[in-house]
Amino acid sequence: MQSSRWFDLRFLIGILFTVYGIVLAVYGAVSDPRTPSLHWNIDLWWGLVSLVFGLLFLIVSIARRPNDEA
Amino acid sequence: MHALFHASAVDYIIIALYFVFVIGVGFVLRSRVRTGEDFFLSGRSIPAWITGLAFLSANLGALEIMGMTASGAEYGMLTTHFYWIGAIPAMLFLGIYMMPFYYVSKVRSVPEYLKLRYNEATRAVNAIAFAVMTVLTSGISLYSMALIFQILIGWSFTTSILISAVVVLVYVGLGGLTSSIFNEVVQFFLIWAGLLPIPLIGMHSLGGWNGMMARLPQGFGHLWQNLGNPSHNPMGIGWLGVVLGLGFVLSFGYWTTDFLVVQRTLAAKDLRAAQNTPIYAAFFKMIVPILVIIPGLIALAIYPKIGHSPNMSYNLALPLLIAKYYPPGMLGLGLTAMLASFMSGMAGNVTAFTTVWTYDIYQAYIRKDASDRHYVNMGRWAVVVGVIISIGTAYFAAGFPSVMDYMQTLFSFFNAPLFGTFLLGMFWKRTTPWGGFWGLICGIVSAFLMYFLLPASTFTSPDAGNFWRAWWAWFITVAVTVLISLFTKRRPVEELQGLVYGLSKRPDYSGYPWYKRPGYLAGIVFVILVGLNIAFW
Repeated sequence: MQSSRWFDLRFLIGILFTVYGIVLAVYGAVSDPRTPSLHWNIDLWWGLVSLVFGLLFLIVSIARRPNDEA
Repeated sequence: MHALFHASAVDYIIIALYFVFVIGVGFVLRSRVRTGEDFFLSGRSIPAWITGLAFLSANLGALEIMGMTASGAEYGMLTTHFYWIGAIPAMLFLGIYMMPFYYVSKVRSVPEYLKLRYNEATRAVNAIAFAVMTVLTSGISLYSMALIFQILIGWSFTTSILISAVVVLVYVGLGGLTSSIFNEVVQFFLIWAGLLPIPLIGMHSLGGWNGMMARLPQGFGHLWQNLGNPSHNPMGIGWLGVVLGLGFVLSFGYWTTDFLVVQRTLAAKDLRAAQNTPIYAAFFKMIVPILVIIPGLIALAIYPKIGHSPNMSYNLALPLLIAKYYPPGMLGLGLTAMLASFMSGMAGNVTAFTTVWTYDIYQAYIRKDASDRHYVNMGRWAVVVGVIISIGTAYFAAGFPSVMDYMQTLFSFFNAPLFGTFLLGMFWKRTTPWGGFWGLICGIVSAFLMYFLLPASTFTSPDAGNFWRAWWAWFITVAVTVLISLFTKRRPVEELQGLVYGLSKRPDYSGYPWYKRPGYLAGIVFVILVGLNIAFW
């Protein structure tokens, strides 16, 4: 059942982290923010990490067996 | 007042996305809530990895994170005792030995178990004390959150309180316990996403563990080495107090009898999932110090004056590191992680309060035989009332801040005796109803008497005082319960089936592979725990 996907917590977490990953990475790539004590683009890299994490959860959720109910 | 951070548009977008997300989850889950079982117990249908993470993060509030980081900066690795010996053994004990009684007896709350095992009076004492304390605790954390956000980003007290209270109200009111549990799990991942860069960057810039230790006072990297004599360590405690008070009584009292955490195990889908809930949680609990205590050590290494200068209190350890390392964007994620942990902590208190109020006070003493729908509606109203009382408490706390510290100390006097009552109730079938009741009362009263009558100088430090008071309150509970049980009437054995060790069937998992069996998993956790304590001796 399609709607049951929304009851799957893995799916919800996947969405949240994918969105956060995109927002952070895009912001990091566009504005290249720095702090005085950190000389690399943490927003871009941590955004990409979050994006991968989110996509992993989405993949696991979508690929789960149909009888494996959340 | 000058705020520590200046949040920019991208930070507000990240925070706003989180609010949209949690409210959305509430609406999605609403269609799933049909019965009281759904609302109060998530229909007993949640897999163990979810209840396990919720079990852990119900306790991992932002106050705890900031407080433990502060302790890390003040006392060093000693603070880790609160995570390892002060939590893991109790969580394993709950999973292996106590869960069969809680889950199989089909009780809906901790007070309900007391009613089945002992009597109505014992349940009433626990239900009323728990309901009052939980709702006040929720208000205290609301107050602390508003205070912190005022200092960090300059939000007004009322803005913080109203926004977070309304969001919690909406998502708990709609989705009940499931909403609360889902958000606790999301919070667990958010905390890691929002805070993990701090120990990584900090350790890297200090030259790893040894580089950091070289800048810290002697002994800050050790757990047990300096506990032989209370005057040799900054906490002023000895090993016996740590083992008996913290490791045994305080930790077992909290993790095995506090309904806030136990409620998460009751939502699990079957007995094996319920047993695995605290065991899974223990795996993750062991690594939380990376997120809270290591940053405390880093803060002390970078700011050696922390705690000794007027504008740099220990409580600012974590915020100072965030300000140092996080640009806009990461700042939003860090703030969202803190907000999420505040709100899920409050939601956890509100759901636990709601269940105890509806089943153990309202249904037990006010309306016994109403329809299931009636109790669900009562639960939703209890959420509203619980949130309103929390807001009131928060404003009260703002007026009288010193009363709040005091109250939290007083609340801690209820868990230690309760653990004595549970231990005897579950493992000694001769414990009688009135033995349990009077033991519990004497334990609580003695904790209060020790606190008010013994001068502060009795103990080597405030922490040592907490540990030893808890131990003696527990001891008195056990002694009185045993004594009175020898002279009062037992419950007939038939009534104790499934509630007491020796009168219940032990679960048999011999058909399962090792990684699904609670006993094996608990054994692995225990071995890792011993290894960690030796590594950081």
